[in-house]
Amino acid sequence: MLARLRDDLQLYRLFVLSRLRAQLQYRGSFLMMTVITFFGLLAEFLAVLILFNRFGELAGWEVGEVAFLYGIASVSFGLAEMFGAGFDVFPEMIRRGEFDRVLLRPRSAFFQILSADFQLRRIGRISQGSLALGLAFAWASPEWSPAKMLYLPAMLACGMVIYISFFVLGATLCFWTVESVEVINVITHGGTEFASYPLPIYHLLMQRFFTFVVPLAFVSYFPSLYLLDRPEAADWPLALLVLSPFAAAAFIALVARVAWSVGVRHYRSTGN
Amino acid sequence: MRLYYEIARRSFSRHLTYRAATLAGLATNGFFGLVRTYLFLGFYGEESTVSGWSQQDALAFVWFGQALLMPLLIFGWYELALTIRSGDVISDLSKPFDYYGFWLARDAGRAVYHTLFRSVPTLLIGLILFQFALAADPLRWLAFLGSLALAVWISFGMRFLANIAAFWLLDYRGPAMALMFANGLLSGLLVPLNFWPEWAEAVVRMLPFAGLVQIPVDVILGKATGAELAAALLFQLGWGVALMLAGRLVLGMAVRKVIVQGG
Repeated sequence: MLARLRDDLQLYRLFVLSRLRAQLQYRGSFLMMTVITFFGLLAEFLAVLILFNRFGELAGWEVGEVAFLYGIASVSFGLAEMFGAGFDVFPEMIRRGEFDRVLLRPRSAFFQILSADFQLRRIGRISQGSLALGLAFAWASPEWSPAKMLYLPAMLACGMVIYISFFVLGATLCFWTVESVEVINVITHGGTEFASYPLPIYHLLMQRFFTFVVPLAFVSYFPSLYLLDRPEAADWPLALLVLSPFAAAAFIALVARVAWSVGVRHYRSTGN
Repeated sequence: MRLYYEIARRSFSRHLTYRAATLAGLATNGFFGLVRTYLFLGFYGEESTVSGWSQQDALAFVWFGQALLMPLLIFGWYELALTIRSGDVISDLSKPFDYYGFWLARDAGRAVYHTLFRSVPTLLIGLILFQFALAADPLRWLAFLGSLALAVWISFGMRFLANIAAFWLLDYRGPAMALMFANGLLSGLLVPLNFWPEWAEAVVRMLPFAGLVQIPVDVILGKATGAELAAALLFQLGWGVALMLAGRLVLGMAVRKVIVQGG
């Protein structure tokens, strides 16, 4: 079991390195795309700052606190786009009948698709999100403890797992539709926008839906209550507040993994 | 003229076939509209009017913004650049029509399609959910449609330039992507320009981007009437002409540079 895991990790490293080498072949193009993405997303963040400049605060949240939500959502999503890119190219594989080949190889289909791609250029979004986080630290100046310093990266990882689970669910639908399913953009790109602002501004139905059905509220809102010592944190038992994002990530990952297995079993080749 | 009409009509029909994509797009517009509606309601809080805009105005702005995304292709367009990359551009250039007119006609057909099948349903979703006030004056709607048509022309002018850069650049995506991000911020789509700091608003109001979202929305909300309305439409027309001239000039330079390698 352990030997198998080590073997998988070794293989994953090799796949990723080969993808990196390929992407760095066109260095100028790579740099240009990354820099444009960074500044482009910065423009988006600037829009949020302009709104704060005009309105002062958003439902009791100050600019630094919203920058924090924004930064967590953006970094998590960027990480997911970077590590989960394989599920992005997956619909094309299905359409071309290339998935047949995947099924013949002596590794799980899930592992192979996960390791099929790694998008280094997503560093553009990750660094923009990190900048927002940096500004949030400067403006909101939350009180830091060693526990919180460990908790923040854990939350970014949880957010990444939640987003990758959405990618997996979107890819799973392709087993039935063959076409790529664009509706999933609503909860990935739309979800990042949603998670960038405090949950209470939304309609109660939306709040419940994105807490209990599609656990986007656990990407940024609930972790931030604890990390920023928001007064709303007092509404919950601390242990529940702190541990719930892990539970949410584990839950959605399990759902995605099971759905994927059902999809693989359902798969009929498009032929070649 | 007949030829360009036919080109536009075919472009319109071609888009009619993508039904699933249209529905998915509407779901996305609807969701973003929803999130942004609550964002603005959250910012307004107890305030009824900010920078001359009521809450109703802000909601109408959100949904008109979502509705205008597709006719104006705010999120990028690479079709022309791809023909340069593939070499198909050569056959288009040697056909007996005006190359700029050919693409403009195609884009017009597409814009009509997107207005009917993306803008109208998006607005309806917003209206059903939030019942914001809409202009009742037919003349104002007429002015809005004129402003929208000019906005499409400005958008086309900028996209044409960004795409034609592929004659010189190895990577065709860069300029079109940069344009997409500039569109989002400077058109007033993300934040209406009247919410910007005054000095910044004064600068951005002079750029062609303002003619994409801010001006059509100003027109339909009745923020520009009388002489102001005329000035706003003239501003759009001016940028439309300037971008067309620039596009044709750059196209001329590109055509002189093209070397056909044979096939």
